[in-house]
Amino acid sequence: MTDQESVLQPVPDTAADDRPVVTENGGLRGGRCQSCGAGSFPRAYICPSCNSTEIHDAELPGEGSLYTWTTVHISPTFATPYTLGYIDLSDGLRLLAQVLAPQEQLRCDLPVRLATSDQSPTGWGFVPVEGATA
Amino acid sequence: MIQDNAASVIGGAMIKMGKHRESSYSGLAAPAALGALRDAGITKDEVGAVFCGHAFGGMLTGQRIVKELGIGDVPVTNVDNACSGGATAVHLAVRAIEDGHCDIALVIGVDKLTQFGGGTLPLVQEDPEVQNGIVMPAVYAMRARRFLHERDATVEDLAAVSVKARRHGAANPYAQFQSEVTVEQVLDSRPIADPLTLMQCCPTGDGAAAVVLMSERERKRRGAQGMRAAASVLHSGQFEAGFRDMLRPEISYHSARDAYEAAGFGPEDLDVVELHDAFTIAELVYYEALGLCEPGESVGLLRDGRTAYGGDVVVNPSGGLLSKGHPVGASGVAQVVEALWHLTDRAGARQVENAQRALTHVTGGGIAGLDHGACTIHLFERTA
Repeated sequence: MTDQESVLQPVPDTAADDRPVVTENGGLRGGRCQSCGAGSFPRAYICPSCNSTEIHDAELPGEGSLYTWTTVHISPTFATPYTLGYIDLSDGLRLLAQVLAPQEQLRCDLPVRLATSDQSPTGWGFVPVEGATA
Repeated sequence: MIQDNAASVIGGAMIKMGKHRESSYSGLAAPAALGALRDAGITKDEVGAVFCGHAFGGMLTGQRIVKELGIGDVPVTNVDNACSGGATAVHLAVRAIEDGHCDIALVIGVDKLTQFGGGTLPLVQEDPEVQNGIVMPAVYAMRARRFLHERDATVEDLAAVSVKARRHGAANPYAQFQSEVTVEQVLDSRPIADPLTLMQCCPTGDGAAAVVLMSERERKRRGAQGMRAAASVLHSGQFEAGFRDMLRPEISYHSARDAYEAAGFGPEDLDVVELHDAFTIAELVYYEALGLCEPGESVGLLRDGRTAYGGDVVVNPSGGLLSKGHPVGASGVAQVVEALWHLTDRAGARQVENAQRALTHVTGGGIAGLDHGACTIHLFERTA
């Protein structure tokens, strides 16, 4: 394995990327495995399901439900308080994200959607779907 | 019939847990290591291998400690598995003895969290959830929120875990907190990550503990007493990109199942359990994971006093991490020392009467897509 093409290189997973997390269509910019179809966020470089390395940028759904959440009062990362939640996207993927709503409006299993927001320390997060109840 | 290569813990020691800003890693751990050697009745020259669990000690922590005792020329292995690092070191010592690499092993667990000046445990910034603001209390707070949603439970039930822990800790001279608290005090303490309040989170602190393990052949030759490692199980978490039931952490369920199978006894045979109560909710979830009750019954188990003195099994007689504090790498070894004291009738005012069998359980870490990075479970049985 000394051919120039076969020399292994690391994946550039921390390379600077200024593209917004929220796509123009309101979807989530992640990845999808071209071999088995598994979604990933952040975009994976090796598929944990099938180990394929053919993973392309893909738009993931921007809707899901709030599995659980907490308001954090102590953190070395961001100014407190802020609210975090686990969101189960409609295609089955789960991710941790900022939740941008007052606690009184939150319930487990509440329908939420992706949004861009200056109020979020990451610039994006999830908000309750209007008129939704868990 | 116990195999000649079976491993037993025959000595142990720990320092008082707390904030020891004037001690280095070796300053914390050397007294525990020396105490364990003396408790085991062995000299430094009889140690065949050293395993040191720590998360934040830096390079060669184990060597920095044992050189103070004049131990060298033997393999010293440093182990990081986050909160499970100390217990992982115990696991490696058990394996080393069972595999015939040595007859006597010294295990050290140590960490000094005051070096960070307080606050939450420093996590690895490469992790995507860390970049989105996760902290360890938030992981458990979200577990607690879901628990309150799915179960017939209240925040008072969460607080009751702290009340029990602090009641037990009040009788433990090694605990950082030796005072009782009420449900009201717990719930009125300042919010950390809703619904968890300060008194539902283990305090930060420094600590060290050490144990000596010995092969059965060597133990018999010396007539040493202690507790046999009936099972020593280490699991890593399985990545899951999608839905995960936070009330059913697979890593602890699987580790417990394998441990009971290896030991040939079950949760109903336990007298003492030291489990990973870094946050109140953890204890309730782990009652079920460890099989102390059926899924869904943990709140009733606690409410009925079945995990306190006089109940089915005493959970965290030491006061747990909620009373002792949680010096990451030290905690798993300190749990084993606590178990040893109970199984050799040396636990003083908090002795669990006629304790024959004990379980220790500690998970490690928070990384995206896993329940936890590591889980170690040990089952111990008093030597005949």
